[in-house]
Amino acid sequence: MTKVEMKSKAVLILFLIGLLAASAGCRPNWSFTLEGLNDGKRAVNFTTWHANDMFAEEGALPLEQILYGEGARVLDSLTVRDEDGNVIEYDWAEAANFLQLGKNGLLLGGDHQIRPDSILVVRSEWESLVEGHIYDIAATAAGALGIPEPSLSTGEDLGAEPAEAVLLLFLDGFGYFRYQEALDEGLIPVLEKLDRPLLGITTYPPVTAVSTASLLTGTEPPRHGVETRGIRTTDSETLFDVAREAGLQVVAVEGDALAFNLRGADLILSGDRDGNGGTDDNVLANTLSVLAKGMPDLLFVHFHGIDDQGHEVGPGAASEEDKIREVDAAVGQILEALPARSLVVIFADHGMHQVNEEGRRGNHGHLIPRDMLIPIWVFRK
Amino acid sequence: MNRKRWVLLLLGIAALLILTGCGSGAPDVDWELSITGDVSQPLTYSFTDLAVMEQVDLSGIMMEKSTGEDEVTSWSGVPLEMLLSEAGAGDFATLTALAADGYAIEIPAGETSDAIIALKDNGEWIADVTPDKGPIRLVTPATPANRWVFQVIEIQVNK
Repeated sequence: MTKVEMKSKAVLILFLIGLLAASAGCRPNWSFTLEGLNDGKRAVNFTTWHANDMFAEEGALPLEQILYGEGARVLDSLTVRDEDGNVIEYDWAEAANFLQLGKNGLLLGGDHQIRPDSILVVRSEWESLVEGHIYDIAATAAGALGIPEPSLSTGEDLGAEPAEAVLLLFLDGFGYFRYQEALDEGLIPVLEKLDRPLLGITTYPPVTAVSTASLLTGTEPPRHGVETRGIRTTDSETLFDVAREAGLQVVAVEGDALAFNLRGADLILSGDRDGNGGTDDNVLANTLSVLAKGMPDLLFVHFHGIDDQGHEVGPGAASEEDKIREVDAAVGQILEALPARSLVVIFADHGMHQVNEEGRRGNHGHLIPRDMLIPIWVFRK
Repeated sequence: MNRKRWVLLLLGIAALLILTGCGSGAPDVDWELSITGDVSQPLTYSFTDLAVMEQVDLSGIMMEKSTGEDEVTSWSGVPLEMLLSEAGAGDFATLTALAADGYAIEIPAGETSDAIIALKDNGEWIADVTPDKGPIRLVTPATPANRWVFQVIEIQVNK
């Protein structure tokens, strides 16, 4: 080899080494151990972060997004150990609001940041008591109607027998905790007379568009693709698509606006035509009108008022309690007008927790029991 | 060619440009908006029709968002009232706005004041800057922004 050739080869090798070093430097090299979830210890690193980067803002994403992807459902607390052995314990009900994971692997806690070496997740005891999922409802309704489940469905039939028709009664924002409180306070005489609901769980993030997509497709957000607020449609097959394909009549009575597109249903919107500031009375009137003409094969009815009041005045405020009473009474009128041999599924899409924000006293959207747990009633009339 | 003929020729060209939408600088968009329901004459407007109609500006209005920070924005477009009037809508209780992807909303009459069918967002054609939120959007300043229906294709008038 000549001197010139050797020099060229050396330059080439140095260039390749430089390229390798540069590319390694582009990929943040951090990792911590996640403990306490299904599969024992798991390594979380930049690859995990990168797989969720569509949820990131300004280089950080909610820690709960990572935790949900790793199998967490409802949590109690987190214990974080940093690289120097320091330990910080977080009450998850508080920490879910602010803990973020930076692209650089730092755990950002608002006024502090930590380089985690390990995070121990303590799951809520509620998790072991869960009896059903929001994505089981598609399989349940399909089973009762004798039609196939939506193609992506991973849900299980919650025990429905064949029925002549199915009513899906959607109580927006009426989470399991609020149901229990309302029961204790005597706000829901109609629902109280029913058998105890299943302790159900919705999908993350617990917001209406995502939950409705899970409800109708029968699966979880990573599969149906509606993973954040602001997405109002899915290309995945829904319960309504399947029912319509089978020649069934599908009617959806909604409030004044769709939270999620209801392709395949004959849509009846219920604007505030009487100007009383709410739409639940209009939803009730439209539903009773539908039933008076004859129960369709699949009827979907969505009450928004509990959620609206929960956001505005917070769970437990007087006008929110009034709304719960109103919706409970509306459920009673609908059940009375419903023909026999119908399957009834009453459910919420998410819960609500108190906040103290400008213009808002209640919110939802976190991986906490109060937001994630929902009641699901399944019974035959 | 004398001066008078030149003027006539220029006026003719200008009229042609306006009629084809070129005068407004509007993008070439295949979109229609129908006004239906309780009206004496249902009408359908193309994007070009809308682009050459009288435009109004909603400057510095608050865009109240369900997520993230509220934003002060400016929108330009055709007054909804004008379209309703042309279709012969009288008093009404609500309007139902339907979007191309199946989204729908029913708005009480009291919340439709100053509403426009917006073609521009902060001076830019929606069709150019955020085509997935356009090319036209119902902007109702009296409601939160999640009620501002984008990709709107039909406005139904309900007595």
